[in-house]
Amino acid sequence: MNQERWFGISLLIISALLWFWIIPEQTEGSKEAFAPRLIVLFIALPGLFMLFKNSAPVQADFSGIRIFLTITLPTIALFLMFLLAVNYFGFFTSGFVFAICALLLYGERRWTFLLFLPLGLFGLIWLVIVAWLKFPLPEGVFF
Amino acid sequence: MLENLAESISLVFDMQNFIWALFGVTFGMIMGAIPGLSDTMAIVLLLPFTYYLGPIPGIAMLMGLSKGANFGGSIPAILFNIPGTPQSMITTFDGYPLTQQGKGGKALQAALVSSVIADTASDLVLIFLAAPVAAVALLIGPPEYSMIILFSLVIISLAATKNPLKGFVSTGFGLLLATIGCDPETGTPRFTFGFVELADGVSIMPLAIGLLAMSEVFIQLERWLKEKSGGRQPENIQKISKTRADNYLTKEEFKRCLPVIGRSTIIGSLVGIVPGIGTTVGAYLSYIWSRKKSPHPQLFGKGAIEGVAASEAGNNAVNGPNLVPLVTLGIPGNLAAALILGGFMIKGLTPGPQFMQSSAPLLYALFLVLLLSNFYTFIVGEVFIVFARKLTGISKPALFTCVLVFCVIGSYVNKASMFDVGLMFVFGLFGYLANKFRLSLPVLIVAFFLGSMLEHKIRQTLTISRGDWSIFFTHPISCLFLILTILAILYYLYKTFHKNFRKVM
Repeated sequence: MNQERWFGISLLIISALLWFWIIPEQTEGSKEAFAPRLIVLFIALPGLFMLFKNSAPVQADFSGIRIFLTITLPTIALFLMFLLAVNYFGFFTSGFVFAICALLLYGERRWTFLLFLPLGLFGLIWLVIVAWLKFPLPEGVFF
Repeated sequence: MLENLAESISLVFDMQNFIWALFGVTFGMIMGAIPGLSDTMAIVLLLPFTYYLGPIPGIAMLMGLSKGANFGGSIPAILFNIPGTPQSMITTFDGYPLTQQGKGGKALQAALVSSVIADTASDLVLIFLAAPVAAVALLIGPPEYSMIILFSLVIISLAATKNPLKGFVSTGFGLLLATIGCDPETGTPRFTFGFVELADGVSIMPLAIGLLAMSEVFIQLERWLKEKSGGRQPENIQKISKTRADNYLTKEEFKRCLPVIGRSTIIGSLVGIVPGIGTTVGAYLSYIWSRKKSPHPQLFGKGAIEGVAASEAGNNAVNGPNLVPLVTLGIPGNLAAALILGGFMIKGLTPGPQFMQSSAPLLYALFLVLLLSNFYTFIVGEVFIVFARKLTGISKPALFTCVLVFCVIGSYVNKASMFDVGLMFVFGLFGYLANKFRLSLPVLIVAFFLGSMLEHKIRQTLTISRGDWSIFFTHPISCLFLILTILAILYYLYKTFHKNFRKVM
């Protein structure tokens, strides 16, 4: 079975979940559920077509699992940690640490670059957004 | 009208008007260039200053802000794939690929030239057609709106993607996301999953930034590492060409872009006349139409200069006509127009049919200030471009890091909410997966944008007709668009089955 058909099946499963579980759970009446149910058809009908359409196999691009594990997943994890840390350490402190870690992850080793890029970036953000526009960014225990 | 024009010219020639319009354009451009800070936010920030200014300089500043921010939004869209304002998201389709080819300067130049030409033409539409056009716009009510939006959605799904089935799926997901929040009629929550922050629905900025910018960083990172591990020396520095041809529009390119700008100006102006449809739709319809008409449509999405011109001309052409319902009927066409209406009110002016008669010279003076602001946009924009294009020389690791940090700021400043930042993260992951399955993210975003409007208009229509669906057939314009929608779907089905049938034979 080609990837297109797998995708069609996935869409039908998502549509079924929406129709029978998520929509009844997350709406309070038939009037409120009407539009979402109608929209589910926008997803389910193409899914059904994909299942039966006589098309050439289209490969989903999951060939680079190793690359995903080496760079994408660590970036996602690092970025998530940054977002979680903002609430406790503030935007500037956690952002500064995130920027250094991200640069290290992407292979940057020049210490001047590692120090001055985050300093310049967050200095500029502070000047424009906090000092000039008077828009406060999240603060934490340090800054 | 000519007498009014002559009197208004004498009103415009005051140094204060020139200075405040220039200030508005410059401040608007800076605000637009910062992701997440839109033209509306710029107007909100400077609206209190209009208390201290006269009617013409005060409103000149507000209109300058709107124009400056409109172009400013295209700068990060072209250079970093982060739309500075929601309406500049269509510019990313071709603007960013051009930057990747080292032609960021050319893309910015094309965006500036098309913005200024389309904006000026649309202002002329406003000046000369304000009154008659407003009368036509009155014919469009909720049933007509609903069917025009439905038709747009079907056309976008069919025409904007290589695989229309995936176009429909993208539209479906976009529409589904638009239903998050309180029901427009009963006010009960839908798909909020217990989060109070979702009661107002999902904001466009975290959605657009997550889907377009954050997911793009992941895709670019993988491409970069693949080049590195494949033995090829990766381009550590984003290409930046120093040749004049890559940084400026050539005569030949300008000639090629002119018909595109003209067509997009007409589409944008038509969209702008109808209150509430908005700049994003104007930009997208112009983009699709230009791709259809282009002799090389395969280049669209890969760095076609006409793509940038179409999107920028389409979104800027909405601006002038959007003020038509404001000045003639007192109905603001969009949020920015509503804020400008606030500016009028602060100065004790009430736009409407009476205002057109009693204060015609003042009104025409404001129209002339619009043209002046376009001139300023061009001059300030040229200076901005010189500095902005140098930013593309940044190294890839630095670029990825900076873009991720700006994703956080862009999604935070809209509502000062970390919840929106979390949403941006979730949409970034969704965008990454959708990219892998070749779903169309731009179609999804446009469908999201139109979704809430569609539901709202259908509900309004059914309230008017007391639940009778036949209203869509009894109104001629609505019926016409409904038939066109059905014909478009039937045409697609015929084409698909005819092709498959011929394959089997």
